[in-house]
Amino acid sequence: MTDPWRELYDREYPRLVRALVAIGRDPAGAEDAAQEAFVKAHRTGLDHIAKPAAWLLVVGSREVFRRRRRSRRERELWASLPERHDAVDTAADRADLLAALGELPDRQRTVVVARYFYGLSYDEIASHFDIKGGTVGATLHQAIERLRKIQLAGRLARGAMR
Amino acid sequence: MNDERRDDEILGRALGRAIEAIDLNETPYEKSRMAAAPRRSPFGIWPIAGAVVAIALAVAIGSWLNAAREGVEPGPVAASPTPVSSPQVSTPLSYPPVASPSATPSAAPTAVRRDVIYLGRAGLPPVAVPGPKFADADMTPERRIASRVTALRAYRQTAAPAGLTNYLWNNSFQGGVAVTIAADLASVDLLLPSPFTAGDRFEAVAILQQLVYTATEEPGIRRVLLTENGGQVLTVGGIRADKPLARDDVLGYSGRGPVGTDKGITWAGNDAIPHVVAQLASVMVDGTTVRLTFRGSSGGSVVDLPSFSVSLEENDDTKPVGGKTAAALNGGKYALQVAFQWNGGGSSGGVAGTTIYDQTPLRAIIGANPYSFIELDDARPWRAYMPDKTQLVVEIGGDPQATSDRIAVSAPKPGDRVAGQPQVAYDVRLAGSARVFEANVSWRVRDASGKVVATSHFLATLGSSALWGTFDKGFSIPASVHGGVTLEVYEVSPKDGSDQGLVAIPLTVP
Repeated sequence: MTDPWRELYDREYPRLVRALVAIGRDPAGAEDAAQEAFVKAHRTGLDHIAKPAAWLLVVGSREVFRRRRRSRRERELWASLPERHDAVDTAADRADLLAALGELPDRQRTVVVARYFYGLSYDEIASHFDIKGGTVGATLHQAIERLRKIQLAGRLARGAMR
Repeated sequence: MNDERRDDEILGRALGRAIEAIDLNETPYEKSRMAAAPRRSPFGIWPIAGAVVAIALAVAIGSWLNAAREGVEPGPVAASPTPVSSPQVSTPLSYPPVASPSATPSAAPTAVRRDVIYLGRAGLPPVAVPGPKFADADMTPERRIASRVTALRAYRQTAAPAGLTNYLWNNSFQGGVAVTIAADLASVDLLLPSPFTAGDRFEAVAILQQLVYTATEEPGIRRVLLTENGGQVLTVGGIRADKPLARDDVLGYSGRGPVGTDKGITWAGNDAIPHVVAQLASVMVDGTTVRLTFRGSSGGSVVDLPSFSVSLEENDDTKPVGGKTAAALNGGKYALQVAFQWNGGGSSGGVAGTTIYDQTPLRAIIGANPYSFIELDDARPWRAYMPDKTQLVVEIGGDPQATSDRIAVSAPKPGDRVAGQPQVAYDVRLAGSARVFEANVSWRVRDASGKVVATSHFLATLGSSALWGTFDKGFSIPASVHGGVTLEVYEVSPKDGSDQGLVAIPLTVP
């Protein structure tokens, strides 16, 4: 007999932590929040959670923001993110993108992660994150638009230093 | 898909890959907090009978009281023999111990006494004591209110019963009160040479509580507009009393209890037994909490209770309670009505007659079979639970720090000191009542820095039903923790996992 919790954990935990790192910009806090989200899911029971992946993301992201509010420390942690041993340019691009993501307001950041990392539909995002259905697309577009500008500025800055 | 949208999609996917590439130290399932948590036990699903309405009346004053209370003399808490880590065992019917009757009705009184004023307690609701001697019977309501408020100045602290404080004695108020009345609103202007002094928020709230409760003691008056020196806004320790205040506004709880028949509790009991009498077996009043126990009895033996309903209603305290009984008695500002189904002819022989208590917040109990009217001073939170099918416990109030709209903790009490010398962890008794989703009560302990040092959950006897469930379990504090800790008891929202109805109880660990 397989344990549905283990199955859910093995499948969702890594993805959830990555999403929460991207949303909260704090790796240690993200792990904490992900653990807490699973504990809460466990207490609530799988019978009562229609879409566990999205539920965990909603609860986890709220946990991330709650922790940050409580500790009142907004740390710049992208510098300490572990480097990947890929091609230098790719790694630099990725770091740029993540850094740019970190510049977005909380709400935009969460919606972007839900859409492009979790692959949730506009409707799913609207219902899980309590956003009006019609505004999900606009929020996403604004967010991506800003990402592009910030990323471009980063590239230009790096180009100037070479 | 238009170009713009496609560009967004491309960048979005690149971002998704970037997130995917974030390096992690993955915690394996075996080491996850979830795996360490006790297994969830199978338990009947209670439908959420009309989502419990979050109390919107959260008055700022309530939240001020949620900080650690000053001056509470902590008593030791017996370590519990209950193993903390065994909630998977089917939950036995357990309930908080019900104190033996401690309330003693005064000797043959004929009416609720109105010559009272209220003294304060830091972090707890105020308590009435006999106050002014009214000069003559035909004084006006205005003059009676002025007399009571003036008596607050004159009531010496040395005369106060243990545990009560007159925060107005030796304060700025030296007498001089002007009172006007319009409908249920009294305007009370105080002559204050200098503003009231309050040592902290608790004292400031206590001063306001004393003034509001005392001024609204007059029958027919439900709200008071407090001003100073000819109509200026009264300010106490930074709190501006710039609007009329009712007792419910300064209760000190996170909200008032549900009011109205539609918010009451109805319960289908055993109506197959004829001639069951619901006897009021015990009455406990301690200034904060009232606990009434009704027991089913028929022909001298203990039997199941019939169906019943319980609801709290606003009460017109200017009128004798003649509509309920023939007794000429003015009741409280609110009346909690307990009505049992009478199955069979003749008299139910249950609670009959009127008993006057005059012990805050219980004024009187009027029995008019098959009803009981519990006359109360205010609408503090209340709840009802059944330890077994033969008993109904109606509980009104509770320590504000340990009471929310869905959780009431009776042990430990705020300020308690945890006792014992454990090797691994203190096991402390955790008892009370709750009305939460699927009976699932969560708790966690925070150390002085706010870090969670222990957390788990257990099941109460009932879930989201009209009646509350009870629990008598334990919680643990790691032996390595010292100093001030906070026990938080709460419901995890099934909708979004947020904490609901949280109570935070400060404790001390040696």
